[in-house]
Amino acid sequence: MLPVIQEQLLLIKVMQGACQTLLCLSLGYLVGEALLSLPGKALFTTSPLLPAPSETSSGPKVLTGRRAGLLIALIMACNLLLMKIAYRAALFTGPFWGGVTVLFIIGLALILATRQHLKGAHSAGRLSLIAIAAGDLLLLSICYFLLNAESLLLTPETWPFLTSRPPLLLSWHGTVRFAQFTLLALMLAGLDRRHNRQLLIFVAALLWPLTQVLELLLTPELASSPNLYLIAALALMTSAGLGLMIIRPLLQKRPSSLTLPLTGIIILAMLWVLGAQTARENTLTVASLAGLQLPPVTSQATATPPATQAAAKPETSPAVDGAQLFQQKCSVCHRFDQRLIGPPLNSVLEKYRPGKAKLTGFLRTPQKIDPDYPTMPNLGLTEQEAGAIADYLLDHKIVQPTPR
Amino acid sequence: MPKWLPHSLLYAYFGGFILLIAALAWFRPVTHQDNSQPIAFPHTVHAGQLGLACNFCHESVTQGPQAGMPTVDKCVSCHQAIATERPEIQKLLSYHEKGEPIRWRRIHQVPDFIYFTHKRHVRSGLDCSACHGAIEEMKEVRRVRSLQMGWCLSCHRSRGASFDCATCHK
Ligand code: HEC
Ligand code: HEC
Ligand code: HEC
Ligand code: HEC
Ligand code: HEC
Ligand code: HEC
Repeated sequence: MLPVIQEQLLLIKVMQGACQTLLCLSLGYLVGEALLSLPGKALFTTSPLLPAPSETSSGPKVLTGRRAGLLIALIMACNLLLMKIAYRAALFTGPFWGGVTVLFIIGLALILATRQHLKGAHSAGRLSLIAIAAGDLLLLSICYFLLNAESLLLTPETWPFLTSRPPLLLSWHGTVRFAQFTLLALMLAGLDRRHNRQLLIFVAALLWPLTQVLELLLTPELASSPNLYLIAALALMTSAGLGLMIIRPLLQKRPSSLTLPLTGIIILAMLWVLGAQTARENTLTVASLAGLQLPPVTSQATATPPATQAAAKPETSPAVDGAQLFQQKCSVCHRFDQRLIGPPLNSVLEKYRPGKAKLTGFLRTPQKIDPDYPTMPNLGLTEQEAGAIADYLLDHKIVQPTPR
Repeated sequence: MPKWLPHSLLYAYFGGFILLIAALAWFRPVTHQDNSQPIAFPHTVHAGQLGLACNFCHESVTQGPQAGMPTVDKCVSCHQAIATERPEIQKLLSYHEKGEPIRWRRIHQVPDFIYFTHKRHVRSGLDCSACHGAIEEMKEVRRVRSLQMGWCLSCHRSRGASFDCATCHK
């Protein structure tokens, strides 16, 4: 990892969170609207509203243009990129993510192209209905896929096995996250002055706690922490607030201001993203990522399992370096010229000078020798290692003949 | 319908869920798990800085099912002289004087009905970190793999090891 990334990791994660919240909000609005506009042709146009001009007064109107589509695609790309940088999620290859992004853009374009028709014209053609359905389906399935991939980040232990068992990608946790996303989308689409649509916010707010509890139950054990529960409780309270906010105008059948519910929904989306980030922080630590071979094992590895493992971290390198081994294993207790835990080596090596075998023998099975010192522990050296160290020790004396 | 009814129903509904989450937080072990050990033994120092081999302390890892914990004597062979003034080492030395073994809290544990052996795994070339993560970077050992059946199985499948039920279930 580049040092810049290391230093700015927190900032990157914050940015990623912000991107994801934005993405969730804008995409949710778009998908929700498109979803509603399908049966909506039959359901909602019954209210005698003027079609085109009234649209300007209802709901957030930022997302009508094509330029907005471009923006969403951009945010999406940013989000994926930041995610990859922050968590080094080399889960899939670059072309793969590229493909997902292209599909995403196609879905987006389909919806945006037909949205104008649906909103403006009284009679949308069958073709544009089909296009919008296809676009929506595409976007929703990509969201489903991405949310599952996000959940997969919580179980790094399954990454190495993805190539041989692709179904591991799908998880119940991801499915519940997707349900939550759909609820958010419906809430956003419900931000509309027509009553039956505000009912949507209410229903979604009622369903939210169910999904929240399910999510907590399905979170992998290693990903949960007290903070996660706190965030869940906050999200739950926000949804409660939304429900309470909406019920009065709903009962009194009079339109109310939309800013408050909108704020509520934005907070909910933020908490939703924050929850996922907290869970990721709990699992994706440096310590837990060690020992996973990324990119995952290739198919031929099934035939020779140990080979890939051994290649990843050689345990006994063929060239045993005595000096290095000494630094690693003995320097904790020994110096050549001073007493540490063991005796200064210069004073004891003399008696081993005639034969290396005696020294290696001692190193492999140390015995009690000098009552002045504790017993040297058995370090579990192999014959080869002991030999290399013995060579090093006996050589060392020659290089440095005069002890201080 | 009285005016207050819908509101109080909503309060009750959401309040119920909040209580449910609180109960979950209370009863699920993760939120109040205590990983503290009788002696705060740092792997970062011993396995990290000193670079001691894992099987210097966990001796039976290549020979038997259990990895095994080091005896107090093994610790004392160094700590007779190293850092003896520190409180943690004082504790260690008092165990040594009393001749008591240290009761380390188990962190990795599969249920009793599972047969797991280190020997086969380590001999087949798996690194400790494949199942325990980077122990040498942990101040305090924590679990980084779920140790659940799905995990065992997915590795066994991809490495061509046996996944007959009787391999692990005894
Ligand atoms: C845990 C601390 C410790 C480590 C690690 C250690 N030693 Fe020792 N070593 C001792 C002690 C204590 C003695 C004194 C034993 C005695 O006199 O009974 C000793 C004694 C020796 C002696 C002298 C034996 C004699 O005949 O007096 C040699 C040589 C020696 N160690 C080499 C090594 C080498 C090589 C290594 C690295 C592979 C090593 N030691 C690692 C603690 C250690
Ligand atoms: C100096 C001795 C020493 C060395 C070297 C050492 N350990 Fe440990 N290890 C301990 C002690 C003592 C404990 C128990 C205390 C604890 O859990 O922190 C322990 C605990 C563990 C545990 C948790 C056991 C449980 O309760 O489930 C694991 C896993 C572990 N060690 C792995 C390793 C690995 C992997 C290495 C090599 C990188 C290693 N150890 C090196 C002494 C050592
Ligand atoms: C090879 C020698 C060696 C062995 C064996 C060894 N230690 Fe250590 N230990 C050290 C050294 C060196 C330090 C670092 C001391 C320092 O920070 O100056 C250390 C530090 C520690 C510390 C941290 C002290 C502090 O508060 O900073 C603890 C606790 C400890 N060891 C416990 C143990 C226990 C328990 C065992 C037995 C499982 C053990 N050690 C085995 C060499 C050893
Ligand atoms: C295939 C995965 C795997 C590998 C590889 C592995 N372990 Fe373990 N380890 C486990 C499991 C599972 C447990 C829980 C075992 C139990 O409950 O009996 C465990 C428990 C332990 C324990 C504590 C309990 C005990 O058995 O004494 C220690 C210590 C330990 N491992 C050390 C190591 C060391 C050191 C290595 C590397 C040489 C290693 N492990 C490699 C899966 C593994
Ligand atoms: C990282 C991969 C990996 C994980 C995780 C893993 N194993 Fe294994 N296991 C292996 C391999 C590879 C072998 C085959 C070793 C051999 O052929 O010598 C094996 C063999 C075994 C065997 C002996 C099989 C036989 O034929 O006798 C048992 C029992 C076993 N594993 C139990 C478990 C249990 C229980 C778990 C989960 C706690 C587990 N393993 C997790 C890789 C793994
Ligand atoms: C590679 C080892 C392994 C194999 C093979 C294996 N299991 Fe398991 N199984 C486990 C482990 C480990 C657990 C404990 C999981 C836990 O701690 O939650 C478990 C738990 C279970 C449980 C839950 C028990 C309980 O009380 O929670 C059932 C049921 C089960 N296994 C059935 C099977 C069946 C049926 C097969 C054969 C198709 C099988 N297992 C094969 C390792 C294995």
